Amino acid sequence: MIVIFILSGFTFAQITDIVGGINKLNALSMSSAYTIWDSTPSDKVDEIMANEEDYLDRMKSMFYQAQKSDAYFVWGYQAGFTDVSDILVEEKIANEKFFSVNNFKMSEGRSFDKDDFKSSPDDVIPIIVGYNLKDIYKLNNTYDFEIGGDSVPCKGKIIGVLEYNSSYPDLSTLGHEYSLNNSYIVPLSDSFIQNNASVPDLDMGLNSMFLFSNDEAKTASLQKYFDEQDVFSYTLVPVETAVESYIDMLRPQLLYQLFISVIILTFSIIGMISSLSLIVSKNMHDYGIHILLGAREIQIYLRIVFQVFIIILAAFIPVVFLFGISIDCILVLLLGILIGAITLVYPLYKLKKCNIIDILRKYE
Amino acid sequence: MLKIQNLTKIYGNGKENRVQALNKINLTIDSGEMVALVGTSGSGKSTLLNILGLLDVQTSGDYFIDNISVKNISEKQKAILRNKKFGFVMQDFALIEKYTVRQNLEIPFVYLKEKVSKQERSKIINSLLSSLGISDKKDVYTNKLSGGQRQRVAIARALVNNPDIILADEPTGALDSKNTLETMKILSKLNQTGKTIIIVTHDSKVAKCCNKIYTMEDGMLI
Repeated sequence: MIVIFILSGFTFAQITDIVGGINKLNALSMSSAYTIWDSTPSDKVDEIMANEEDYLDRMKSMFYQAQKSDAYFVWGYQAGFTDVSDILVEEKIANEKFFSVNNFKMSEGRSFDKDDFKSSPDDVIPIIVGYNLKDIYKLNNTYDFEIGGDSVPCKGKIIGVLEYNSSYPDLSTLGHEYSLNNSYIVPLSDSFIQNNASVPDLDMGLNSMFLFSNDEAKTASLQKYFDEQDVFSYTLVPVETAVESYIDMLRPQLLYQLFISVIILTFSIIGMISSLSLIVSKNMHDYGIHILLGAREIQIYLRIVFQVFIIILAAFIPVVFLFGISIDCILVLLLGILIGAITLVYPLYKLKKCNIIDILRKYE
Repeated sequence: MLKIQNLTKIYGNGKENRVQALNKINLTIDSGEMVALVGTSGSGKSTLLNILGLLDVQTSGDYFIDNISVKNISEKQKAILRNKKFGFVMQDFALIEKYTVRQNLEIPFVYLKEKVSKQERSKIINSLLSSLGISDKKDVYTNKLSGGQRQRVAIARALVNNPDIILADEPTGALDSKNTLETMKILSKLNQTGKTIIIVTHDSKVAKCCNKIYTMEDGMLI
């Protein structure tokens, strides 16, 4: 039963992840947000990557134009394992708008302020770390970092630690919540864009863009600017459209996952009902003896209910350790209670229907 | 006193499935009697005993315990009577095997309306086990006991709440002759203390230990 509860927990975690991500994205779409669709043909991509220097300035100007239009950017790289732990660290580069939209809370130190987004890799840049890195990159200490796609070396001072489980939605994975627990965040500055960003950096940045705008003319103007640069084929689409499109694209996969989950849960439930029913059946003779000695039916029912739910609670304990006190944990508990209730229907019905003599004789 | 009037018990529904286990039985058992119900298998003696012990319900007729009809009493009241008024001794002992002797004897106290302190329970249990010669088995699991010992535990458990009436369904059915004799001695002794004993048996030697013998055949007293 423990295994079944854990499997159920993972299923619920998947579902709540998707639902949570979609809700967050839909909330964004309500405030008129746009994202980038990149439909650059592969031969064009090859040409750009082979001639980066020719396209770099145009990419930078597109980036500046998007920044001026109040877009938010966040993109990242895997920074590798640290020397002192087995955490795979991720580097995130994000602009000021990213922080203001997501409103992250700090467990220690402070968040970025306006001046932090003016820093340069030649200086000591301020860095915010995710919760799991707080003992590796300690607050107010300075460390060596390599930032961006070209691993530009720089020194970074830790100014803040995010709250545990800080995250943001990523449209490219259907609103999957990207955890920042194992990330450090570098503030995106004009200096970095001007002096250190490569074409891949800027492409990743633009692909990560969310543009918040109620001004259709402004959006159209930015789109026109992108088109005129003749670099990558970026199209600004409303988040709503993008969400619908991704859902359509992933619907078969999602349905398949849900189908598999439902199958697992169904068999899990049948398995649990069987094993719990067997436990109750094994004790039927004892219940008969209790009735013989003066127990009322309701007292036996309560005894059975207690026994079943003790088993369920015991099986639930590892789930708490695995998932913590979370919505997924609560859903597993509710599932357990539901299964317990379903399990009890047949034995209680059997007990009600059986004559005590039958119980004592049949279950000798 | 127990009194039965025109008691009938029919099992099953429909014409083909009906089995008439008891057919208009009239019987009075006075306090302090030791009564045997004898008959062949299927004669209805166990059915009658089950109805007397409120483990089953008659199809028609009436049943009085101390002049009070049990026809319309609630399940709660029946449970109280089973706990306080009757003590049961069954052929298969009806003990919970995963419990010790002491734990089996504790069960009737759980359902007793008036709460008994732990010390008082212990005193009663120790006294009963001692009187039955099995006080050294108090903390032994019942599945480790012999048939004779288990039946003594069953008798002790039947006496825990000091019931007026002991109902024994084939109490010696699973015992050898030596233990049969021992069990009947115990039941006779209990009868001498004033307890009403009703024994269902097919063993004529057991029946002869009783003051009165009622023979049953095809659901009727003959």
